Amino acid sequence: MTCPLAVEAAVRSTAWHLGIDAGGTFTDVMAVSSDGRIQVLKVPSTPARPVLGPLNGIEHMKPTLEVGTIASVSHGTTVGLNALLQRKFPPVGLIVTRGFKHVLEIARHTVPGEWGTIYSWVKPPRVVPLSQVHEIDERVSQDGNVVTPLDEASVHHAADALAAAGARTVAVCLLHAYRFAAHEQRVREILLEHRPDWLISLSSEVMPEFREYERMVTTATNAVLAPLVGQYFAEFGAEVSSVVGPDTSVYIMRSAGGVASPEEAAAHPLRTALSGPAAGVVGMGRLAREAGFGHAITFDMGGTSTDVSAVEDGEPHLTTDASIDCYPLRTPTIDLVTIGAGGGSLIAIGTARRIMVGPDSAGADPGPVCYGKGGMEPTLTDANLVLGRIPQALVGGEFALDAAAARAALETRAAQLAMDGHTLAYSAVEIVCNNMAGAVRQVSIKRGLDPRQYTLVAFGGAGPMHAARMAELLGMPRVLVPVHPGLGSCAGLILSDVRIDQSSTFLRLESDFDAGQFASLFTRLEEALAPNLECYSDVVTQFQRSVDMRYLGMGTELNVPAPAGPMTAGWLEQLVADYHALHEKIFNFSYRGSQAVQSIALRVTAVGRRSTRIPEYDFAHAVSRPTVAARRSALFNPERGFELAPVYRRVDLPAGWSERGPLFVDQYDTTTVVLPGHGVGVDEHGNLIIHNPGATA
Amino acid sequence: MIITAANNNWKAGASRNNDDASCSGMTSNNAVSQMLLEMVEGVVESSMKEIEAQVERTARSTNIREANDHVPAIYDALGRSVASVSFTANVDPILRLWPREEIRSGDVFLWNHPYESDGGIGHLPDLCFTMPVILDGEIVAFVQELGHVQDIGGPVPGSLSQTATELFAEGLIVPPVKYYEGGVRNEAVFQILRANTRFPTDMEGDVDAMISGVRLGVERMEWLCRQYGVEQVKAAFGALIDRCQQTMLEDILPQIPDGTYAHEDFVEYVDVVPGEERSFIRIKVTMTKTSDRIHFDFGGTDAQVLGSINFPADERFYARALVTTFKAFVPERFVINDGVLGVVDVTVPEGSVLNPRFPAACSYRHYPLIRCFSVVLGVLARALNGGVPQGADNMSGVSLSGVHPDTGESWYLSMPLGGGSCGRPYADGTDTVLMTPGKNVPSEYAESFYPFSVLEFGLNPDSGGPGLHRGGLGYRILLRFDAPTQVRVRTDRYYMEPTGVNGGKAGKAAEFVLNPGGAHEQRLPGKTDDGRASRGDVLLITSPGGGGWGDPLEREARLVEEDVRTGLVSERSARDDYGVVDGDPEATRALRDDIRRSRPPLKLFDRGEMFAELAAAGRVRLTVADDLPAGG
Repeated sequence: MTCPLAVEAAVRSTAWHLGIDAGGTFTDVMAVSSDGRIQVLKVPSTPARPVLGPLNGIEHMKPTLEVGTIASVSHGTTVGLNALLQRKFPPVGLIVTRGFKHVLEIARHTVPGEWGTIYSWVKPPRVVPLSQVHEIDERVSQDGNVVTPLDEASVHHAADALAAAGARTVAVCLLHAYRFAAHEQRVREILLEHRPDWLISLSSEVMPEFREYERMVTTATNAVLAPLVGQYFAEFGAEVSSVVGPDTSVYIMRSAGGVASPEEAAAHPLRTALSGPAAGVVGMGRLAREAGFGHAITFDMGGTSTDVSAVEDGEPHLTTDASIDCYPLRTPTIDLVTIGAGGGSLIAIGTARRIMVGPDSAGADPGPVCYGKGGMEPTLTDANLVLGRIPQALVGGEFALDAAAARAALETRAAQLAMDGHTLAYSAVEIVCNNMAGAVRQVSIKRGLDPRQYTLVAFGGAGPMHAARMAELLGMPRVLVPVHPGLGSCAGLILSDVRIDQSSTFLRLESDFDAGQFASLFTRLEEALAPNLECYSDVVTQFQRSVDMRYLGMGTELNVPAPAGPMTAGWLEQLVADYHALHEKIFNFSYRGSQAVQSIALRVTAVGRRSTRIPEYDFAHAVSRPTVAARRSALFNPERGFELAPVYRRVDLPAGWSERGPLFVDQYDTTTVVLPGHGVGVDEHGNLIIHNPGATA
Repeated sequence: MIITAANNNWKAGASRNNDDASCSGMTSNNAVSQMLLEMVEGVVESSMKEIEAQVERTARSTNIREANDHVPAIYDALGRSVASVSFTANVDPILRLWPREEIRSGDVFLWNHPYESDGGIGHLPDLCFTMPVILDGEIVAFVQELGHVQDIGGPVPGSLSQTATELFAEGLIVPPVKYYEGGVRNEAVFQILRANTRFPTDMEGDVDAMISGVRLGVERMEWLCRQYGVEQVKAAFGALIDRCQQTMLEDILPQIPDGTYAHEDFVEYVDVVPGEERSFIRIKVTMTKTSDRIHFDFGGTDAQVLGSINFPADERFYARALVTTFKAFVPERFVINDGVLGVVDVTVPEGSVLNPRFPAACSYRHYPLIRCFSVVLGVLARALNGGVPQGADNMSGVSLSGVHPDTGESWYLSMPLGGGSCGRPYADGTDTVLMTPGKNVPSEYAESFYPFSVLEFGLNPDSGGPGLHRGGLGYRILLRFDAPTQVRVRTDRYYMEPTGVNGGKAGKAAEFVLNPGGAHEQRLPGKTDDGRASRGDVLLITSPGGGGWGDPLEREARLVEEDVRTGLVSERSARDDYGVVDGDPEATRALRDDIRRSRPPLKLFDRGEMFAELAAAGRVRLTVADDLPAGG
């Protein structure tokens, strides 16, 4: 049975859209067709030459697509993220204004953590080592006037030194370049005269905003990713085109939750650092909206870490204040909180008999004790197994788990606390859920969002196991577990809009606002974007304008969408009124009428809407009265003790099915835990919906 | 022990319906409490982060939003700090002044009176806001925000005056009052606050930001109590305190040999207040360590001074603060709360700079506090033969103010300046770090809003003390003023260097010079409220470098050569201090042998040449023998 779906206009034959999500271990491929078919497969990732994994995926997928053409290939990757986390950087140089070569070393002169950390904290290596930072003579004032003209001889001198040091990529960050870019542009010309193959990142292009440390580290991080990520995308675009043909649109997912062409992605490598995680947020947010839940919190729990993000009407929240490891990331990024805990997290005992779950992880190798691959330290997965919350075999029964070994490891660890293994297992799961709930609060409450009005969308291998308990802790009314919890990112890749943005610093007091100036600056930003949009002829493009604003003297800006209509005095009034309202929503107070507002930056985002959709779920294997496939003895609550809980197979469940927990729904790559007293049902799209009876709102 | 009470109450009868024998241990007291503890601690700590974020995103003054000079805290009903914050006030004034039944939901208590704060507040710009958490009529906790506002009146913009001689001259004094009563603001207090600051808009923004942060924390604690029950949460708070104590007793104390050790150091006080004869104020501590206690006795510390470097704190404050020096002893996060009080005793003599009598001025009370850290690290070095990190003498700063030539409005900017931290047994010191969470002021930000240019913003070469592990470098900053500017210098380690340890040499002292190398060169004092710069004047600012750790001749030549190449260490220092001849291993070996033969034995402490000169001139005098050999 296939369900009809909105067929893209002007598609003559079946058009296939591919989403390829390359993670550290596996590369997932999903193909959806314009006539409502869906295919999924998994191939190993190939870290040595990352492009091979996706290409293998396409090669394996092609024969299953039968007739039709591949209309688009969208790709999400962790290539950039992994390079940052592992600090594997190519030889890089940095050129700065004389007097400022230590800015990266100094950063904001803070020590992370509390009093006393100053004695023990060791500064992590900088993105560019000091030996490769070169000063040139030039100076521009804060209002963009040249104080000292560019001394080209000093640039040549720096270029010679960088060439001698074997640099492959160079960042340029001159003071006040967000106001005046000509010096940086001239420096690039000179550098390219020396070495035409150098990749150059200019701060005036990567992040044209003030505060030199943040702009410098962002530009430098962009530069170190350029050879790796930039070349990867170029290679990806070329290789994929050669496999699927030149008429196929190729897209790369970026951190802000939109896709762009490989050329655009290669030009701004830092903007793809969170490519993979962003795809999951977008995909799950859209899916929740389709299911009727516009307010969603996505919860992606994997083997080593967990990502949490809030989505409003299918659109993720963005931030320009993110960071990866110790590196700030001041380009637009999905507002994501990452917790270092996942199924593979180790359960350890710390000082004063503290139970710690993560951030140390058994990883994929050796993995949890129950995998029998040599892991000796108990993990969260071992705890779930001992509590009966996951089956004795994974991956559809192919991969048997060693429960006895898991239990023994937990008993050994628990003995250190004079408790038993089950108690430790139960405690570990509770502690993790509680920490995750803290992450959810961070993405919701700090933005003025009340989680009690949100649906928790659980995916990743471990998400559906823990989501119901988190909903309880947070008072969230329901949990949604999608049909393919392991393929959330692929869905996001296929569904994502094209998004390209441009911003410029614009410091103005409310009293000096001039509608004509706003209009002309926005037009200029849009004109600057226009050439980049030519390759997206197959999507409908519109511009979204917004203004970063704050109360005069405040440290944090809010991004206010520009009001509709012509830019007149009335438009300006509305803009300011919208700022007050947004401030009130997020912070619970405003200074409407009493304090002056200031603009900090103007932003334009070009959004190209794609017409792709994920086909409706095919209930082909569903039965009208699903039977209990098995019963597992499991512990949900120490008050109840171990109890036999029914296990259902996901594929058996028809639309409209409902039941009351405790029960399990097992499927190929995960298990959904439904706690005692919770209701569970299947909606028309095939999503599992868990209802938390204790929700307070 | 409270930990037991927590468990007994947790889901009473948990195993009653349990038929499965394998689960019989589930109700083990210790077990459940460990879990509940992790949960409660998780919510407490994430609430602290949320409060911080809320305050920083809405605060107005540079102090709070850029420099983050504020701190939240959470206390139990008895007023014991349960969150991981060592440097905070307390709620004792509320418990002392208001009967419990008069403490109601929605009340916001406010005070800044150092001598009415039970040792919790050090100076007037620190406004302290506290709300009770009340469930079913019972006080369960208090949530607090302590933030340094931009200005609270007093003689100078920013209020902090080094020359004030009594509290009344330092700004508005607010005794403990209810700023909000049952959710309703006391407009009179609000108007008095606004009227007593040079920057009323900043004040209003900061105060609202702090209160919104406290409210968030109260909501969080209410949720916690609803989730786990009031009795559970109260018991868990007690257990968190026990856990801190347990970490002290089981993990930290065994690492320190029992015995009595003393150390002393000095706060500089040169020509600050007319009529004050003393130039160097002694801070002395005697640590007595036994198997289950540590006693810090500050007897021998100098009497309070006329100027504002007195710290009216109490023993509890000092105990929590000083224990932060033990952080390096435990590998993982060590939550310091009131649990340290069961292990650490502090004695501070009344009338000393560490425990002054009302109404001694106290704007710059942090100078003696930092020297307290120095001397505690000093006694630890004595106890452990140098095997500990040493001080981070880095709460320097400069305040600039004037009238902006473009707008005609008054401006004021406080620039916190980190310094180098000392080398460690396992690593070099860190460059330009600050003890507090305060961030530096971006040059592009400063130039955009204030009438001066930043010509240079970097590290000061050779400022890190030579050592096997080099001290971190201090700042080297050059500013040029576009308008007449008042310059307030506030630094220590200006007349004597940061100490080097275990054979490491002292770091370089700070220096503030107007028009360096020019016709009108003028070296400013280390502590002054009235440095004056004219339009076009250039100000050189350097902050102290950290002392070195270990024998510099043992430092890998490769590292010294790298430092020379990047300009952090001069060729002269490489040769004289480290015995390194660039690129010539043979010459390096010979030079190092040469230096080793001719130098005096390495010392446990190197206080530097400036100190030696002061001592020789009789201006400072050590009362504890200091001439100890390096521990190896």
